[in-house]
Amino acid sequence: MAFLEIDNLGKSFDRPAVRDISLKLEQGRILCLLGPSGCGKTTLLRLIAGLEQPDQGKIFFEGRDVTRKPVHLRKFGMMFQEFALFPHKNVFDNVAFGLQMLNLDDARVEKQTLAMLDLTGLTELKQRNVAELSGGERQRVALARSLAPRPRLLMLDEPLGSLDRALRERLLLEIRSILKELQMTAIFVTHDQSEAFSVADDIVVMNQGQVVQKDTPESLYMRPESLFVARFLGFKNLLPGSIVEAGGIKTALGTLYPAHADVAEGKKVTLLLRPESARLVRGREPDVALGIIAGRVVGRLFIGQSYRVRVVTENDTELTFDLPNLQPPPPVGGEIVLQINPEMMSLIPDFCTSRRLS
Amino acid sequence: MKQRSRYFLIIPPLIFMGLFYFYPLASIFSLSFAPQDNTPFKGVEKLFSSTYYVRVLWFTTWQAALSTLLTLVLALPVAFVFARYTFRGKDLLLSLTTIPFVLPTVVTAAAFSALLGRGGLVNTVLMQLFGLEQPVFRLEHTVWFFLMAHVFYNFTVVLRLVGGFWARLPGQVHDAARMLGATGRVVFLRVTLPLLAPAIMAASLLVFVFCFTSFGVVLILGGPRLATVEVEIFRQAVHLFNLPVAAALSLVQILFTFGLMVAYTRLERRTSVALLPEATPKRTALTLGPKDRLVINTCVCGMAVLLGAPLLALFIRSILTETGVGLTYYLALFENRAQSILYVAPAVAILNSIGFALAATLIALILGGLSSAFLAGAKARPAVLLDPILMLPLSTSAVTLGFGFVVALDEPPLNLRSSWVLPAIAHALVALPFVIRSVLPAWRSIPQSLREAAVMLGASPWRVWFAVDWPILRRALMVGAVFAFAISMGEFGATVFVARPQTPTLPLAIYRYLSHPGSLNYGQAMAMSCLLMLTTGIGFGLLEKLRPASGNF
Amino acid sequence: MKLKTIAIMLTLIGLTLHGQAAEKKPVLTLMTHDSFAVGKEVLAQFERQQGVTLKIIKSGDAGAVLNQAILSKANPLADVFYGVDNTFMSRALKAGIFMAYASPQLKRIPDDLKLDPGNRLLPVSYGDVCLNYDRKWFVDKGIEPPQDLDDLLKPAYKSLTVVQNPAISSPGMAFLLATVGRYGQSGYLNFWQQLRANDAYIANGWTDAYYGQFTRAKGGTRPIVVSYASSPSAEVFYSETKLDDAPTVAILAPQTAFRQIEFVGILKGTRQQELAAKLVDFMLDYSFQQDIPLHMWVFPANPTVPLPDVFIKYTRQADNPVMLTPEAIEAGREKWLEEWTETVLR
Repeated sequence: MAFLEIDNLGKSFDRPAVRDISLKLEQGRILCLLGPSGCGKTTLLRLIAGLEQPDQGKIFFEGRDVTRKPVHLRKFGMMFQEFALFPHKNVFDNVAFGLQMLNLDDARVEKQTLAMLDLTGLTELKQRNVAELSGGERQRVALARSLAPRPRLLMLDEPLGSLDRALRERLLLEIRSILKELQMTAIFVTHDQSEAFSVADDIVVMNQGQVVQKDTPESLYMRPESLFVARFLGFKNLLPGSIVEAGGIKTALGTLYPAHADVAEGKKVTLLLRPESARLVRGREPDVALGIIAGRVVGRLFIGQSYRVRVVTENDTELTFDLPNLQPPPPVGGEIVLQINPEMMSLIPDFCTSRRLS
Repeated sequence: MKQRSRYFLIIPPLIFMGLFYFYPLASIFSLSFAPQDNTPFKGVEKLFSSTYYVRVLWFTTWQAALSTLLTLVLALPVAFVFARYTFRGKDLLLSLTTIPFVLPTVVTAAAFSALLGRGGLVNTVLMQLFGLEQPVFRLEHTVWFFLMAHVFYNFTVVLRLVGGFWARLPGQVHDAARMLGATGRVVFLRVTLPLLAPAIMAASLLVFVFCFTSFGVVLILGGPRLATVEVEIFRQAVHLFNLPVAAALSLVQILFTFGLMVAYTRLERRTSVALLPEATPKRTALTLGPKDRLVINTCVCGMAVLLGAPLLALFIRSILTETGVGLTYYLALFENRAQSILYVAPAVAILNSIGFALAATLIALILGGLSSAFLAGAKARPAVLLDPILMLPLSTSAVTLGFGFVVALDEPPLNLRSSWVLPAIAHALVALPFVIRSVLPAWRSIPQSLREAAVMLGASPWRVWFAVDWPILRRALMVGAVFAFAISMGEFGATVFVARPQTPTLPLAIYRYLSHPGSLNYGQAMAMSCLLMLTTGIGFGLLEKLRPASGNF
Repeated sequence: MKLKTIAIMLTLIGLTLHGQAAEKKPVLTLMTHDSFAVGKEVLAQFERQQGVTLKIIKSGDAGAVLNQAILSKANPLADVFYGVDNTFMSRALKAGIFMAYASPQLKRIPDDLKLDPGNRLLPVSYGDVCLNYDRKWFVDKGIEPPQDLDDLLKPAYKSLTVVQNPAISSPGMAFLLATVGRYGQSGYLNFWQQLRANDAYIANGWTDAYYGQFTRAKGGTRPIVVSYASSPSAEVFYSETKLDDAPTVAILAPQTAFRQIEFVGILKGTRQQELAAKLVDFMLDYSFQQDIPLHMWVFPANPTVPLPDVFIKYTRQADNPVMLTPEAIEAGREKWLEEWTETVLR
């Protein structure tokens, strides 16, 4: 049996929040629950933690059924979105709390607390009142507090939500390295896919209380299995099409030939052209079958590593690509010819019905 | 707010206290302690000669402490239920709990006797059921009888003050503690209780001082052997006209409670914890599991029995006429049997009561708000002294203050001795501490960073106040308003000894009915008491409507 | 109810306006205690006759209001004070707050009521504080009702009596004085000792005694209470159903009741001396005196005034009540209270 196994978990408030979810998680892996707000990811997290009781289904941990086990006995850890630090205690006391609950003697509590403070870089702040700390410092206290009693499973509920971007990126890597160093099994909840990609070993995408796709970050990115996932990941170039003979997809642009087209003939699919799949070419004629398309630049943004270009083709299809910054693309209004790499075209079994793609 | 301009806040309350508390008090004290004839301090010597007064002081103290403890123990679980859950009828129940607060002592005594007296409902039923000769509950003139009455009165203070504060505690902090392995008990003791401390202390102080200066309750239900300091003061001042002794006792009472309140304010400043800005109050549980329902039902039923039974007994007495159940007594209220000039039409009494109550509430809210604003941001030294000073009227003997009014307020522009405004002022004096104790913990818990965030976003100081402080304060002010209203309707404080022209209020009308024999008189007193309960209940309901509909307290 | 409310509000507004309009008339202030009551028409009559507005200030019980008058003597709250009784008379006179006024109405008042030869305090009404017992209770139990103070000490009447604490209650004080008068300064404590041993209940006020412990009240268990000679009449007058006979009986054996006399006086420092004198005259005159019984449940000082039916039928006066001089009362009050408290409460 897996380290953590969830069978057919369901929970409703005035409407269903979590619908019949089953998952497995191996020890030492970091799982991310990704989805828009209201998809049920926080509810699922709280169900695993024991802070809510499921209406149906079971939760197994290390082979044992813990569905009805009280929260304080599960020995899981949780880091809250709002940090939920104890305002009447200082940093040291906050972090030591979990260890005190384990009824260890004072010397050990102190030793382990100091070790954790050291790990999270909080040693100098240990006597400070939590109200005096900055947002980033509070986040680290919350992390240290949840890790100190060495929980078997750590849950993090959008822990970086209230921080600014630069801090967030730095702390993301810190969190992942700390978790890996401690060989901690963790479940991470977020709505931000870049966070998910940075931290997780596996990602579960959720929508309306159900699991939509479970995969590693790479697989998720390379092969989104539904339009919902594709749109959630921010993909814009979604072309409705149908399979024609010999692995070709007939779309509004013409018939394109992705590298992997293993779907039955006649089926309706959506073709995804990933943003990094395009290169600027000069002196070639458009040939859709080879993946060379022509169009007009309607938007051009320099983002540092690449140029984000919006292109409209002659049949009014709008596409967005990130072109490497080596070759600056033509200005807005200019003509452009792009080569799409067939390897970076993905087939999504879902069918997209709208022509407007943005 | 700059420190210096902050002092402007405290000026109106201090002027009010100066004119209507310190000035009358000083007048009556100087009169009492002035050497009269040839026996200057004879009475005061007597005070120290026997151990009687020491025993009285000791009794007053321990009965107040015990009452406070009992009230806390019984009311805290209910406060929890009210803070954490939303259920049907919650607002109505809350209003009902405050009704005991306004009942005149005589009526409460009647209610308790009706219920638990030797010839009361419970005893009669039990005796009939089990064929007993002697009544089971023989509580007259025992400590338990008036302890129960104290709990009956003060339940609402703990419920509102602690419950309201509890509802604002950050929600996830409890979950965090549970995740870290804390059992329910540990969570309560090490997380909830420390955070609740300011509210619990505020409520305890109020209840303690209230019970300490309790007059009617101890007198009637406890019996003549159990005298509190207040009773002694009354005896000396009114019956013996022994002003030196009365004034000396008053002074002892004031100094004792002042010392207590100074200790309290110090403690409160230290335990007040500003909540962290990201902390949002826990939303009350929307779905109720069976365990939740059990908890709610137990608490609510327990409270209903404790508070509701005596009120119900009163109501039953008011409709149980000699000819069966009927509205005879209520109808009789509208008759002026003997065409007396002092007949009080119920509508008039109601209007007068409400008029005074609104005036007193307004005064208390404004001054209480200003005082809290000052105290919340003031540095330690002035606050530690000023806070207890503002609470003094609560602990000052009503007799003393009443006499002080007569002596002091005799010349223009303060010749208010027989003015209709004086009862409202007397009520406001007593209500002021309640407003402060309701608003101050809430104010102190507002995190400074929230204000700073608002300022950084370009808000002027007024807008900061309006956007950050006001929403939180509004709720706390409503709690204070309810107390002020109740105190005024129930005629606490010096009003019993304040001369007034024909503006009879409901409690006065009740007393009047109860001072002549006749079953009609008694019945009418009961009916009018029910009218008082009804008026107050409606008053509370309307006040609650002004509260922002945030769902919580 | 709505109509009534509107009607009342309109009346109130009307009265206020009327009050405003009547501002031109001089205002005469009467200070008294909470039990003061009189007919509307009667007072209106006075106001019309004299062209004044009468303002009545009340505050608390007799003792409290007198103390307030004394405390404010430098700047009196009112022009006329009604409510000094013979137990407080000495205190009132010593404080020197009243002006002498020999009203022409005094000739109609019997001499034994005129306790102040200086006519600073003039008698208006009097009542007898005495024991009352519940007739029905004794009939039901088949016990002879008590007839005298001594009877209360008999074992047959154990646990049947309720009296008020004299330290805080006016009728309680009056009853204590009755025992002092009856048994003498050395003997009264003996009486109280035995009464305590016979399980008498000490209540804290008339209300607590009558409506809390007396058997006429619901839930009461004691059929003997200290109240007024007029209480049986009040019981009939204020009874719900029509009664044929008074449900309670007053015990008026010789030297068992205490006569309380209430006085009126003009306060020194009044600015309306003439009008105040007129009010005093009025209070001693026919129409006011006749109105007293049904409102205040005491007897008018003027013996020629006809009494209402309910008084004639159910109330007698004590033939031989205890009467102590005001000076004796003032001198002994504190001592007696102390001794009583020691004996009965501690």
